[in-house]
Amino acid sequence: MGWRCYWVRKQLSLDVGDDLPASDRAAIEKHLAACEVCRSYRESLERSRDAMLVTRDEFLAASSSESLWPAMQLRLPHTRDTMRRSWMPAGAMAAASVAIAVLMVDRSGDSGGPPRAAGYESPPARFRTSTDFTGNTLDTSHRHSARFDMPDDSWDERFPARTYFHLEGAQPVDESAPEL
Amino acid sequence: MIKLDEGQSCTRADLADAAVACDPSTDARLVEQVRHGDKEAFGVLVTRYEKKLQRVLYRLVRDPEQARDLAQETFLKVYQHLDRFDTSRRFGPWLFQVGVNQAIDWLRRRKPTVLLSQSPGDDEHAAEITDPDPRPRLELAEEVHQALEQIPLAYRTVLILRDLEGFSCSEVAAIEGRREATIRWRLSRAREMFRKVWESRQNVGR
Repeated sequence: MGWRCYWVRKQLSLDVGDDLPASDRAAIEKHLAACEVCRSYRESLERSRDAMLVTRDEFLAASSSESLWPAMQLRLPHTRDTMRRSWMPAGAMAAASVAIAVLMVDRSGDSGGPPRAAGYESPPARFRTSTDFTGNTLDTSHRHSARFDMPDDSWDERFPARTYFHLEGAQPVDESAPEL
Repeated sequence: MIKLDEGQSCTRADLADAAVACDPSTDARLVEQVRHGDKEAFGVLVTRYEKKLQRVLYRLVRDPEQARDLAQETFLKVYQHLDRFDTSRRFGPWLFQVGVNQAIDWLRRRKPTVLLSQSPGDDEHAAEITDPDPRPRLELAEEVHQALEQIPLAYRTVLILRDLEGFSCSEVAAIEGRREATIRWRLSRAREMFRKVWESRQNVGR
């Protein structure tokens, strides 16, 4: 079978159902006039399709004449309202979960340490020390680059040491040295 | 289309009569009415499409009762998701898309069954056919059905929708959610496959 016969047969499968563009039909007819094999192929396509189309109306005898609507009417009110109600508890739970997650992230955000006092303000970075997740101060004296200024008196009032960290081991720094 | 004069009311029967033409604009209007809580409008849509939908489903599942159940489930599903339906699209293809998917899901879930040439209800249904001798017709229908069963479901569906139900290629494309070129290609392949199966069965029978 040549490539032309191959192409024509592809088009014939559409042509038997009037699905072929008119522009291709002329080329098909021209080939069929000269190719008996493709003519025979078209005839077998038409035979099989005609047999299939005979069964087009078979369902009419098997179908019930009763409408679906009366039975469906009884189911509809529950379906739509139930759908609306069912997602509401799920939506509320999802919102609550998100809120709890946000609160937990917020609490563990800075240092994972003990609860903050009301009105607490985070101290400048140079006064912060490393803490483990329980809030216990880690020994950072080995960090040679860590320098701490001596806090002034107001600092103790505003930030009582026990609420967030200790300055144990911290050495006074030469004030002329640059801050980190 | 029903044209109403001022003050004239339109009954459900009027709408049902107009439904034969399946005017997309009335479908869209009915969908809007259903969204606003008018269940009777949905009843019009059901009566408009139920016969054709059941027929399509029957051709796929080959069981009238199952086709009826699937049709009910299709309408219920459509009713539940009506809020999400884009009224710029046509309602009919969307409905059949849901229905065909329901049938395909059911076919994939069911266990393979032995095809019977004569099921118990056939004698009863045969009496309703006005042919003088319905037996050859029923036998031919069963032969065609068995030949169709040998074609892969994706191709069989296109063949049923286009050749047996008369949907246009563009409507089949909308139902299947595919491009029209894809549907034409599948249709060509499906007809070739059916021809091959049919000819081989006819040759075996001789």
